Formats: sequence, structure tokens, C-alpha cells
Amino acid sequence: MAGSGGMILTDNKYIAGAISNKLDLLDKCTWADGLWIKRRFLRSLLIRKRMLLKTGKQAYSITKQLIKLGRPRRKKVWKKIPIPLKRISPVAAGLGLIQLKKLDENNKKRIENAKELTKALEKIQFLQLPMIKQNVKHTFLYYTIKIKGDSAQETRDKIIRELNGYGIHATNFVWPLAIHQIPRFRDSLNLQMKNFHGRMILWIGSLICLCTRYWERVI
Amino acid sequence: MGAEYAYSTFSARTALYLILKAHDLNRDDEVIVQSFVCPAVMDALLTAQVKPVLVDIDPVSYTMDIDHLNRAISPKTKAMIPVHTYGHPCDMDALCEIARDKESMLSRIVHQQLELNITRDWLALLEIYLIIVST
Repeated sequence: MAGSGGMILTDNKYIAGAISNKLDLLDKCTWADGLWIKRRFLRSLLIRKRMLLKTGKQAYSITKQLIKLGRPRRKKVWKKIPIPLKRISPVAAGLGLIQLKKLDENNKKRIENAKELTKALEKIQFLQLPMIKQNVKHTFLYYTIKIKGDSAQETRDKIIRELNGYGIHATNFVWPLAIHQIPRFRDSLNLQMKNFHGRMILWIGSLICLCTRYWERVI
Repeated sequence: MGAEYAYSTFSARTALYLILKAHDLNRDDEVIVQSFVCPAVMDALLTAQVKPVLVDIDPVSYTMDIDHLNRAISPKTKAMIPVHTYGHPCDMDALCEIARDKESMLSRIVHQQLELNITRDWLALLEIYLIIVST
């Protein structure tokens, strides 16, 4: 979610005032846990940045260095990078406003696509399609399909392989993660795996980038 | 976007952090959040130094389980963060009913914010909503 942008909208004058008063906090603090990445990965990023400025033999020698860095090591060293909380830049905000104008249209397209998919897939017994509530507008950010039955994981993988075989991009979707399955939250909050549905949710298979031209092949 | 005031931020977790800070929540205050959610929500809660309370999700809609939510609410609960997972709207009617049951704890300002959330219909962009249960 980092860098994807956020927005707070309110009609409430009191809340707006309170937010304005707290804006000073942003540059002073960072994420609670920062961003943890492998030190090796960080080093490779730095080298790649330098490589952009070089050409020919120099670039080749740096590529060899990168290959060396890619070798597995016994000990993984993680580095914490503090990420500051801040407001969006004016350029990014401008781009965001342009994209926002397309939002209603994009949502309409998503809803139409979802209707077509539901119509085609509802006859298949072992698929659990998204639950559609009455009098509520779904946007179908993703069209999630859950495989029912004991061998759900195997069936899911088989379907993904089949679709990929037809040149259709499909994958199992594991985001967002269940909080109780992320070690840093599980340990600090002492969460019990058995109390949540999260393990089951990891079996969701969702069809991503399923465009209109693929429908006939899927159906 | 149909709102009088708008604040754009670098990330969604920054926006959540600002909302939590704007409501002056303390260390002991509990905020209810569903267990199947982007870690950014948890990061925002921990950065704002409030206590997150996880509730389970409904296995069909992947959104907040209302029964579990009812059990999780305590006198220390100050807010709940329902998430429209994958663009599937959570049961806002039931959530608002729970919030209205606690109307004795609600301030007028907060109640207005609650009504505002119901009328929003573009859920894809703002997946995360915040309803303050009490102040």
C-alpha cells in the first residue's frame, strides 16, 4: 500500500480542523515497524542504481557482481528501513485527481464484467462465487472465486494450470494476508490461529486480468 | 468527490493514522479491526499507539463477522474499522445498528460521520472506512 496514496474525505468541520492540527505529526514519525527487507536485496538495488549511469564493459562487470550476490547464503540479514509518513506530492495529487474522474466508469465496467462471469460460472457446483447483496453497490475490485470441497487446494492449482495453458493469466490470491498469520503481529498480540478463518481464506483462487476477450475461452 | 474537506496522503496507512490521531485516541483505547486485512491497517493502529482488537471474518463475504464483533465490543472500544474486502461491501446496516445501539456513547459529530459513510458508493478506491463508536 505504500505509495499507492490515501485520501480522507469529510463534511465535518470539526474533524477537518482536528486533522489539520495533526498534519505536523507526519514528518516526525515513521511506520511503527518500518519496512524490513533483506540486506542483500538492498545492496543489489544500490548497484542497479549505479549501473544505470554506466554502459558497456562496466555494466557487464556489474551484472557479474549481481549474479554473485544472487547466490544463496546461510544467514539472511534483514535491514529495517524507516518509512516516513507524509502528505502526497502536488504532482502525484494531480495525477490522482485525473484518475479519480475515471473511477465511476471503471466501476461500471467491473460490475458488467462480474455479471457476465457470474452468469457463466454459477452452474458449476464446486465454485463459491462472490456473494452479491441486494441494495448495495459492489465494485468487484477482484472477482474472487473460492473452491469448495476437501481437495480445494489441488483443484485450485489444476484450474490455474488449465487457464494458464490457454494463455489466460490466473493465479492464487494471497493478499491481504490474515493478520494472525504474520509472525510480527501474531507474536506481539499473542493471536491464536484456531480462532480465525484466515487459513481457509488463503485457498482463494481469483482470476485477475480476465478481460472480455478471454470470456469465451473460459466459459 | 462530493465532500467539503479532502486530505491526500502518501499512503492509506498515513490517512488512517491521521484519522486516529484526529480523534485523540489513547493507548488504552481499543479499535476493532477484522483479522483478514491489509497489514497497513495494523501498522496505522500501532503507529497511532492504540490497541487493536481482531475479529473474525465471514467466510463467504470475507468481511467483518457481526456476531464476533458484538462479542468483541467492550467499554474500552472507541472505534471499529470495517473493510470492504476485494470491493465486496460489508454489512454496513448491521454495523450502523450496532453503533446506534451505543448512541448514548456517541457524540453528535461522530454520528454525522457515520451517516456520511453510509452514503458513499465508490468503495473501490476507499476500501477502508472508519466508524467511531464512541469518543
